Amino acid sequence: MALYSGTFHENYAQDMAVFPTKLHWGLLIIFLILLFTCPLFFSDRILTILTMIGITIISVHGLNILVGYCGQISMGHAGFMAVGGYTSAILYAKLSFPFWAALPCGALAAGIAGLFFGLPSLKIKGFYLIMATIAAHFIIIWAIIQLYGLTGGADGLSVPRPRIGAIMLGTKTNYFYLVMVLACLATLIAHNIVRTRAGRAFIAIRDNDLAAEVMGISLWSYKLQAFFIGCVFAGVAGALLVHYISFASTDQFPFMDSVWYLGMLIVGGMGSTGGAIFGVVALKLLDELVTVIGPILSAAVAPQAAASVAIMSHGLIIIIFLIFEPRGLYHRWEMIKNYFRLWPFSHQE
Amino acid sequence: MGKTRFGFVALLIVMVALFMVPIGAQAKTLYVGGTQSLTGAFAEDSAAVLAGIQDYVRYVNETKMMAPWRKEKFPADITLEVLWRDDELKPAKALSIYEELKAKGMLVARISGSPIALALKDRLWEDQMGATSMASGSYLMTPPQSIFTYYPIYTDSCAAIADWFKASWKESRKPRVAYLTADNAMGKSLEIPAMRAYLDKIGYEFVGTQYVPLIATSPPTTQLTWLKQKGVDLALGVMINPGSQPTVKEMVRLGMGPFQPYKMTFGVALPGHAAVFAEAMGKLGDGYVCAGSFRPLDDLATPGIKFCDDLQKKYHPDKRVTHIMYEGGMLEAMVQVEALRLALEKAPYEKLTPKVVLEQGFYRIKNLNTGDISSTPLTYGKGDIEGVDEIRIDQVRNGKSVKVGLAPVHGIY
Amino acid sequence: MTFFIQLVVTGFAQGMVYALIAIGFVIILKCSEVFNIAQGHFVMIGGYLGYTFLVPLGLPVWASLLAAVVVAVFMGLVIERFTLRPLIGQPVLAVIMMTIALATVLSGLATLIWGAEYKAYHGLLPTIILKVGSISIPSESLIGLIVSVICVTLLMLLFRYTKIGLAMRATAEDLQVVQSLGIKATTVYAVSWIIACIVGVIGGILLGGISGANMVLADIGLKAFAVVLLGGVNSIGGAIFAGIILGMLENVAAGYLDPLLPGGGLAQVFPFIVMIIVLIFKPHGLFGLATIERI
Repeated sequence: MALYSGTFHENYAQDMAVFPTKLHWGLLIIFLILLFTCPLFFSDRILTILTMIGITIISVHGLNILVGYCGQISMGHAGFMAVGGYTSAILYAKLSFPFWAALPCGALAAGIAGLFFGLPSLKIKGFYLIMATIAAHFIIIWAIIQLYGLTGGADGLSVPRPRIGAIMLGTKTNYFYLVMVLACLATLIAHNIVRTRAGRAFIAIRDNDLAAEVMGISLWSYKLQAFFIGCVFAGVAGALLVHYISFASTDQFPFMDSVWYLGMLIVGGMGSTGGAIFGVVALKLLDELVTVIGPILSAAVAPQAAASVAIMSHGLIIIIFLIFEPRGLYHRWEMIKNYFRLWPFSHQE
Repeated sequence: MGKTRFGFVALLIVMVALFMVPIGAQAKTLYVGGTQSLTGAFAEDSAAVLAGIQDYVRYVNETKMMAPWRKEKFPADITLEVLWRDDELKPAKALSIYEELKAKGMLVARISGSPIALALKDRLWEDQMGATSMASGSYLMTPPQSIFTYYPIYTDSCAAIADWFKASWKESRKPRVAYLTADNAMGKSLEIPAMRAYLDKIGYEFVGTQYVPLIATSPPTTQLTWLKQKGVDLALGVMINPGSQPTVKEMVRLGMGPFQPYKMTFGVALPGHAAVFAEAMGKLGDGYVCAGSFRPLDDLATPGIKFCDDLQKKYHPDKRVTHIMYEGGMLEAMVQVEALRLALEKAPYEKLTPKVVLEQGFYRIKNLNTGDISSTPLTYGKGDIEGVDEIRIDQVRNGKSVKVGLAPVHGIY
Repeated sequence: MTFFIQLVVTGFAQGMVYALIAIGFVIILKCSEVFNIAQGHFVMIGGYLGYTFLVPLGLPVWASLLAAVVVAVFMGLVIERFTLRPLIGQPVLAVIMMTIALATVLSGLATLIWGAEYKAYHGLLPTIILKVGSISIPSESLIGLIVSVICVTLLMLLFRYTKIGLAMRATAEDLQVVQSLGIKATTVYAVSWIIACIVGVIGGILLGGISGANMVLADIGLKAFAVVLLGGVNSIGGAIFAGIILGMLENVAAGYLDPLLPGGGLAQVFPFIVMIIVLIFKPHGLFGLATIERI
């Protein structure tokens, strides 16, 4: 990363700082203020979209650690979200756990499911692992339907609106705050996990697992750690989703969601916290755009045009990114930032 | 590279801008329609429903009539507009669409499938928003809230088939019944204790359940062989045509059916559409029973069907909608518009809220004459969300859908 | 006992269809190391093509098949040239995401052209009805068997006696050697995609005759993956064997276990359970080659 003209780092701490300059801190504070005053000037609809974006960001951060940093490709992320969501829903609705306890329990359950389905990763990788995680998704969903007494099976499970003590979290504004606090926290944690010993081990495993093992990195321990961490994030997101809709059903965790989470990473840029956020925001906005222009297209072109565009939109965007910008939006963003950092003394293109 | 870079930025800005643009509301406009599932298993049904809603609304706007056979008029100074979004059968998406349409001032809502119904029903009730529904599981009755159906719930439909079958049962032993149903929320909504209790009560012996994928990609030989082995006389299910057509085809091949060597009757609840089924299968599908079915679109002796036909001829003669759920769309639009009209009788345009439309509109719909598109005229009220009181039973005979009976609604949930 | 035999026979029928789809998958994988998630979507397109040629255009069965093959060749060429070729040398995730994206684009196009409608063409394809005692053998098993045998024989001949077949085998063995010998790898890739498209489309027409053309026909591709993994990803014979095994196991499990489980639906999840077990205990399948990695 290029430094601003005239900025120098004099020690290790400065070099490693997440927010190296006062300008960064300032921008962060302005961003947070803007984010948390959203409910004052946005409608319910925008808040709903932002809440969904926040929930998805939490989930995709987990996937990013697993796929982007550790190189263990998972196409069962929605399944792990379902584990988290259902666990939290059952604890809250049926066993009357308090909300603050049900949510972490859901996350933990998802993490444990991740550990279990991460076991094949010790033996296989690449395509085989993708297949194993796809299988994990369908087995999880099937198990949820089987456990009729606990989960309500295909009928789903109605969950009362969450509350912590006397604070009702069910309202859109309060839930927005909850999700955004957790999303910011998740971003912070995700960004820092990869700067720890474990994070560096993940990256070594991603780049060449055999070489990593020879260097003394325990594949067994770190691959499973990556699965656990990734799925805990998924569990939190799943629990938040279920409590937001105040209903748990397997339809909320379709297989294609797992695929689109990976798509978000590709569009945003794999292996960077910023990339995860960029990807989620870009694809979610695309979704909304498609929804809004659907009726217009339908009236103008053909009745089935809306559905067709809705099905294709994600695929087309991913094809475009894979061919023209495989490093994703975040890479573009960094390039733009670097350009302006050096401006007007730019001598690189 | 510079161009691509700014291209991306520009694309992002355009996306954000387009999505922020509000659609300006005109003076004195009321919206009908709501969320649709144009993608997914119910895509075909949804597309036909949408066409029906659009045609009916255009008719009301042009003539201010409610239907050719009705005298009431829609207020002349108010224009109706169809507002819809595709939710792709995703609950989370339907939620944000619902918020958007509500923010736009929509006073009625619509449910496009079981997953959407399950996710939205409590929220609709909290907002006191009345909705019409293409999904009709027993979950709508526990407790009855503000989602109204224009065809019987699946359990009632299947109970009607059981009644009808029992009436013609001549042997001395108890008839054996099994569920042969779709492997999804819709199909499994049949498996509730009340349904079993009813079947026991009217003298059936329950054998078990087999599932067929919602849309069969291979013939359900295994499931059917199981039914045959258990000696089942009546199989009940909730299926859509892509599931029931391969199933019946396989039944015929295995020699099962009311007119086959092994006597077994197969009956499904409404989305199995006897008319569509008969058209696709011809004589191959003889014996298939469907409860709560709509009449075929070429049954012009029925005033409602004639009305559908006239509208199609008038508005899109070259692009006829041939799917039967066009009638479903007409019914949904009729109910929504009637609710708005009744609410406008009690409150001025400016004072309309979802609650007013629910209480002064939906709850006051009594004996709404649909021109016989629905099994009976529609009646709603507080706690009465099932519009019909009797269920028509059709059977495919000689490649045609024939009405074979009428059974009362029992309210099984 | 009759019940059991009936289940096995039905499983055989389904297994042949799985095998046919799995073959298309294996061909591409063998030649270009691309895991083609969109194989099921070729099947879906095939179902719709079958409908278009047989019903609105009213062509006879042989002409419909021929027309569908022509479309498949074109489809294979376009797909290979514009989506997969730019990705040569990219990591496995990029390639898989590309085939998934391709799958959704195919779904989208099918929606645009055929309106996502359920199109049935019952009774137009030839059927062979065989009955042995009280067990009836599904006609599609016989047709599936015949078509699979024809496909495999043709492919064997192609691999054995033609120049392009030799090039394909060589490319599967070692890409670098092939390129340094002046064989155009891109041509090999194009041919493998064309073959996969043809096999998929023919499978689609067969399936469409059984259950009607529908968007969900594509989901059968997911089951074919289990077949491929069980048989070993680079073995055509393995795919056929595994297809039959899986079809039978699935039906027996559904017949005996489904009524015992409250939520049922075991047949749907069964291939995935097999998949996990295979991946844990025998990742390279029954007939696949284990690869040894060096740093």
